[in-house]
Amino acid sequence: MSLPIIYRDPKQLANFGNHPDFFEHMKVFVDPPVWAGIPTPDFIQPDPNALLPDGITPRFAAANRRVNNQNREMTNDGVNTESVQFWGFFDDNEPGNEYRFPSQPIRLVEGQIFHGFLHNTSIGGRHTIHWHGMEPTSHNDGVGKLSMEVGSEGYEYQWLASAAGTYFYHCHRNTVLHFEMGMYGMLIIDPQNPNLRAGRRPRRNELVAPYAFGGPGYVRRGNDIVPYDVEAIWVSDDVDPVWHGLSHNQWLSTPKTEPDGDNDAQGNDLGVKFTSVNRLDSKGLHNFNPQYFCISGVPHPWTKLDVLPVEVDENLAFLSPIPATVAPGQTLLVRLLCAAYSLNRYTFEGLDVEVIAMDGRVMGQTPYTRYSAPFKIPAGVPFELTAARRFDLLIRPTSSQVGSHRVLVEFQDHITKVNMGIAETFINVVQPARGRGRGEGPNR
Amino acid sequence: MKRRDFIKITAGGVAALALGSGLAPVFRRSEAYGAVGDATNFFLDIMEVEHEMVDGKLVYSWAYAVKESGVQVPSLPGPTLFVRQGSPVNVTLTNTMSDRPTGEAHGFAIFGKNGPIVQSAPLAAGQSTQFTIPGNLAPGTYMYEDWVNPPVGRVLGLHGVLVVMPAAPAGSPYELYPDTAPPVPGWTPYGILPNGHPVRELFNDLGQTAHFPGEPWLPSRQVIWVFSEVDPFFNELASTELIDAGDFQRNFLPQYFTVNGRSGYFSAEDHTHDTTHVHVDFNQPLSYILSGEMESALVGKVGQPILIRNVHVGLDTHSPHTHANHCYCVAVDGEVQDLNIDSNGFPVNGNPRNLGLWWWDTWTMLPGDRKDVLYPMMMPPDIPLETIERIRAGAWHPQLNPNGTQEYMVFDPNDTDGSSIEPLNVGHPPAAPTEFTHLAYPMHSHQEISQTAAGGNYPMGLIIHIMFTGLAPGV
Ligand SMILES: [Cu+2]
Ligand SMILES: [Cu+2]
Repeated sequence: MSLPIIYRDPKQLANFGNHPDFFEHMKVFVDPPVWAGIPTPDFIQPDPNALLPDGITPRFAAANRRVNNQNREMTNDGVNTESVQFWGFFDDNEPGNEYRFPSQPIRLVEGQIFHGFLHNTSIGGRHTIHWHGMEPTSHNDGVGKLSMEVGSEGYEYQWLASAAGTYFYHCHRNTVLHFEMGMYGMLIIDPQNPNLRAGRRPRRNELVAPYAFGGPGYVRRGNDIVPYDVEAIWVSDDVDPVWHGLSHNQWLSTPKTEPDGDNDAQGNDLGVKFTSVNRLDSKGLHNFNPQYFCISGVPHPWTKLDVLPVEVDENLAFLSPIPATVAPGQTLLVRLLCAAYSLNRYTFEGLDVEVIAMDGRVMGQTPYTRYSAPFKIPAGVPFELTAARRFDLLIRPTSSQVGSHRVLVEFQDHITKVNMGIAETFINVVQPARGRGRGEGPNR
Repeated sequence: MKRRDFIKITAGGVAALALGSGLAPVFRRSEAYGAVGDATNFFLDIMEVEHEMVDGKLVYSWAYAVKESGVQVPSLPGPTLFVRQGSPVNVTLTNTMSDRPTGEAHGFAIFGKNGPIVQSAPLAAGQSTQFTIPGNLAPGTYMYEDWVNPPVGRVLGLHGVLVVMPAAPAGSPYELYPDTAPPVPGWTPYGILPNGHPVRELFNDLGQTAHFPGEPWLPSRQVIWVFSEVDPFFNELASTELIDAGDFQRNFLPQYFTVNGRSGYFSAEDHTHDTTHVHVDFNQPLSYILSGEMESALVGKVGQPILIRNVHVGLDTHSPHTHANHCYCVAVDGEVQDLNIDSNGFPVNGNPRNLGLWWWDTWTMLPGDRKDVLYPMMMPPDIPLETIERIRAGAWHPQLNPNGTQEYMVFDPNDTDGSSIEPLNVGHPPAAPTEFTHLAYPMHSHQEISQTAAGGNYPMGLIIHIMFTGLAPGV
C-alpha cells in the first residue's frame, strides 16, 4: 500500500508549465553568479571634505578586506594543543596582522556612509560579506543567491550606519561552514561624543568617535549618550576541528547543466544535484561536535589569563587578554555576541548587569524603541543567547564589590542541551593605583 | 533495519501517479483560500504519510488530517486552525493509522503555561474520541501536538498551530472583520489593550506616525512559521517499532530542517501572491489552512507590516534572523509583552513578560517555544538617502511573475532618474553586469546547521524569502 505524499513542492513551483525559467532560477539558488569588478549600482562618490551635521564627523568611512587562512593553536585544558585551520578577513593595509580570529574589527560613527571593499587573494573560490544587523539594499546585503558572490576582482559594499550599536560581519556563502571557519569580525557603530555633537569646543583629550577598542567611549542608553570607561567585547564561539579540515565548497549543492531526467515525485527536474552524507559521518554539516570553546578567539582556559602563554602568538586575538579590569565607580560596557552553534548560557557572578541594547537596537529610544526600556539581570542569574544575537551590558561596580568576579559561558549541545564545554573569564574590580586618577571616566 | 517497501517507490512511479491524476485537490485548490470548518463537528484524523524531503527522499511520517467532503486530507504541519475568540470547537479525533506496534497510541493536546488546556484520550489504532477546544482562550498563538509519548509524535509530524483571533465588541460596527484598518481604537492581534500598553502603542503607531509611514497592520497580514527537523532514522524506525522517548531525545540527529514542512527553495519561494495575506475568513468561528496552502514568505510594500507567529515543534535550537528589518517581540508563549520595570531596573514580579518589546534581528526558538514578532516592513534603514530618493523616483520595479516567484530588475548606475529601468522576467543570471536583484532578502536560522539537507547541500534548509514589492502610499 502506498501512503499519501506531503510534497516538497505543493505549489508546483518547479513545474515548467508554471515557471519556464525555474531551471535557471534554481541554479542561482544553489550557485549564485560571481560578479567581479562590478561597480556598486547606487555608489555614492565619497567626498573627503563632507561632514555629518555635527560638523566634526566625516560623512564617509571605508575599509577593505581580503580573505586568507591561518592555523591557530586551540586547547581545552591549557596543556595539550592542536593546530586548527581558520579562515578570515584581513585588512590589506595591515599586512602584519595575519593571526587574527575573529577577523579584524571595524568601527564607524553613527550616520556615516560606509564603503567596504572585499576581494579574495589566498583562498580560491568565492565569498561574500553580510553586515549582520545592517539593513541596506539587497545587492549590498551580501547574500549570494539574492545578489552575487564576490570573486577575485572584488565588490564594494555600501550602506549607511544609521544606528549606533554592536554588529558583526561575516561570509554568507556555504555559511554553515564559512562562519564556523572563523569568517566573521566585529562591527561597532559609535555615537559621536555628545559634547561635540552639541557644538561645544573640544576640551583637552576629548574623545572623538570612533573610539579605541577597550574604551573609554560613549554609548547610547535610552535617549541619552553616556560615557563608559572600559569596554569588553566578548564573542562566544565553539570549534569543531573536524569541520576545519573541510574544503570550502564541501557538500554544497551543485547545479546541473541541463535536465537529466532525475525528477522529483511530481515529475519535475529540479536542476540540482544533491549529495547525501552518512548520518554519523563526523564531516557531515548536520553533525557538529565542538571540542574547543572560545571567547573572542581565545580558547578556554586561556580565557582566564591576564597574560597569554609565551608560546602563543601575541596577536592571537584582537581583544586578548580576555579578562576585564575596572575600578569601583567606573562603568564597564560589555558587548556580547554569540557566534556559537551551541545554545550559550552566560552567568555574571557577583555583579548585576544592565541590558541597554539587543542586536544593535538601544532600548527605550524615541521613537522606534519607546516600547521597551533598559533592564537589569541580577548577579548570578543566567541568561541564554543563540547564534548571532547580541546584548550590550553596562556594569557599574561599587567599592564593596572589589574582587574578581567570574563570567561563565556554558555551551549546550544545540539538540540535546547537554553541556559540551565551558569558557570562563573574569571581571576584576580593582582600586586604581595611587596617582592614576580617581577611577572616573573622562568628561564627567 | 529493514526499509519498508513504500520507501522504494520510484520517482517515476510517483510522478505518474501525481501527474496522471492531477494533484490531490487539497494541495491545489483553485483559490488558495483556507477552508471554513464546522466548529460544532470538526473531524481530525491521525494517519501515516510520506513526507517528501527537499532532495526528493520520501520519509515515513505521521500527520493530522482533515476530512473534507468525506475525503481524508493530510497536512504537515497539521491544519492551521483559526478560531474567533468566543467560539468553542468540538473536535472528533480518530486514529486511522494501520496496525501500529503494540502499545502505541496518539492524541491531541494544547498546553498552556499551567498545564493542558485541552487533552484528548490516548487513541490506539482505530479508536476515536471527542473533545472541545474552549471558546475562552485569550487571543494569540497556540501549539497543538500529540501528547502521548512526547516528544516523539510531535516531532514525527503530529503538530500544528491554533490561532485565536480577537472578537470585537458585539453589536459594534466592527463586529465583522474589515480588512482595511484596525476596527476599533486600541485594537491589536490580542484584542483591545489598555491605554499606554506598549503593544497597543506599537499597533497604534503603525501607519499613523512619522516613524512608521504607510498602512496600519491588517488582520490578514500574518504568517505562521512552524520550525521542525527530520531525522529519517527515527521516521523509518517508527514505521515498525515503538520509539522510546529517551532514546529519541538522546540520539536525535536531524538531517532536514523545515519551516511549515518545507525546505530550501520550496520554503524560501513559498508564496503565490504579491502581498502576504492569510486567506482566512475571520468572521467564521473556525477556518483552517492546510500545509500545502500555507504562505510562508514575507511579501508586500514598504509600509505594510506583517505579524509573524513563530512556533518550534522540533528538538533543535533555532536562531531565526530576518534581514532588512528588525522584528518587534510582541508575545511569548501565548503571553503579550508588557512594560513594567521597577525603579531598581528589574521586571515587576520577576516576570520577563514585563520587559517590553525588544527589537531583534535574531531571536531564540527552543523546542516548544512560541514567539509572535512584528516585521514592520519599513524601508531598510541602512539604505543611504541618495538611493532612497532614486527608489522614490522610480528606480525600482520589482514584480512577481504569474506563478508568484520574483522577477529581477535592472539597476543601471548611469541612470539617475530610473527612467531606463525595466523589470526582467528571465531570472538569474543577469544579462549585463549592471543588473542586480533588488530588495529581496532572506530569513534563516543563524544556527546554520539548519541551512543544510542530508548533511550538506547549503542552502536547502530552514529559509524564507522577504520581498519588498513597492512603496505603500505615504512612504
Ligand atoms: Cu566564505
Ligand atoms: Cu548573520
